[in-house]
Amino acid sequence: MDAPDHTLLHLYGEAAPLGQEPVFRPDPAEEAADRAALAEAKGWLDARPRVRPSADVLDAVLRAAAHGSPAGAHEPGVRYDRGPVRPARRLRRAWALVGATCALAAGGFFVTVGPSPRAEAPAPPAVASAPAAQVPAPLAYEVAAAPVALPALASVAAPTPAPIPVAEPVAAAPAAPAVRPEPSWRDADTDARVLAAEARTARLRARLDSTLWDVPALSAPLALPAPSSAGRFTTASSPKQ
Amino acid sequence: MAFATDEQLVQRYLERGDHDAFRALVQRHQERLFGYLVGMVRDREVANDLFQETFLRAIGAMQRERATYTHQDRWLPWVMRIARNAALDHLRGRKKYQDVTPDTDAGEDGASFWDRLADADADMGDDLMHEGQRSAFLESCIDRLPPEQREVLMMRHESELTFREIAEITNVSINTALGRMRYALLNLRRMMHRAGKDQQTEYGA
Repeated sequence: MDAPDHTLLHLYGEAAPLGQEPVFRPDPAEEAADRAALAEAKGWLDARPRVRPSADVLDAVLRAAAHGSPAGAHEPGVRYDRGPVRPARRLRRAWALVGATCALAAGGFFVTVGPSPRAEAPAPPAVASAPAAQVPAPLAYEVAAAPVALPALASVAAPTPAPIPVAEPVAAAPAAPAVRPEPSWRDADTDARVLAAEARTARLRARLDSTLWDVPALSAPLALPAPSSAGRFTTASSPKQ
Repeated sequence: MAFATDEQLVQRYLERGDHDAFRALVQRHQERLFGYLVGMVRDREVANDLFQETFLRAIGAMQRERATYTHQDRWLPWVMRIARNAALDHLRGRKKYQDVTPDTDAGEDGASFWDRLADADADMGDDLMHEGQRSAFLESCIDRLPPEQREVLMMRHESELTFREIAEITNVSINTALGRMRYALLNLRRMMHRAGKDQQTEYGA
């Protein structure tokens, strides 16, 4: 509670709330001017005449009190002494908050998990039209991985090596495409990303290691310099006497 | 009877059927309730209707749902809450519950009502403004206050509720209630000084 509030409370003869000390402005003149301005308006309001309801209304109220309130005056289930509520405004605010939260979450999800622009880019038409050129040729390791019939012992003993199966040459495309074909995958990007992440991790770890508390700051305690004759310590930067 | 507390009068009315106790209760608080209602709706006839409706609701609530009252243990703030709800229902029903903001109160020259007010240090010219004129203009100035400020002003001056009770009824903090009251008093003062200055100019010309 600030000083103007305390001034108003004091003007109306009310005590400050429990646990709050009165606060006044540091400038007494400003405090007096504020108090005078408020007191002037309060004086006009205090001088206003009091108004009373008409006698008919009072009679109707007292009659209702004597004979009970008329039917329909009190709807069942309705609390007329309810607290103030503003459902429409609160509902609008709640919906606006929910909408903003959802939009932020969707945006964050898209930025974090969404596909990269390179992956979303469409493949070149020439590559799409010539799948034979993209697919790597059936390599020799595939052939080597296939079960190979073991040669006879005699042939093993012979110095002549076993015939190495050679893959069939891949038939070249009939005509070179106008656009240089590119593979749809690009491992280099992933590798570079992994390497960069590892380097960043290593840098952070090195920085963290340098701040560990268990690393001794000094290998040996410092030796105090010998005091001078005047009883003061001298250092290298001390002025020479 | 005159020295009985509100709670004692309510107890006599509810438990013994003492109608005189209820009459004393109504007579004790009629000005506070009616003054607040007149200040809120600015119409005596409507305020009379709302006054009657408030007490009918209060009688029904006390006879059927006394628990809602005994929990609060203060009769006048409890009835004031009923009166406030009745007034707000009426104002919302007639769509008169509009804030007097600077944007909606622009004059012909485009200047806001609040901007056109004179400084508080201007000479009021009390000798030029008669008592009757001042009282009438004070009522019109109260009418021009924003509803939140007018409500706190009426509750404090007409109903004589404390700022803590006003804060509880209007469901705001006591600092907010004090701030509204402060702005209400300062705005009233500015408007009244403006009126005095206008009168001086009129008579001088």
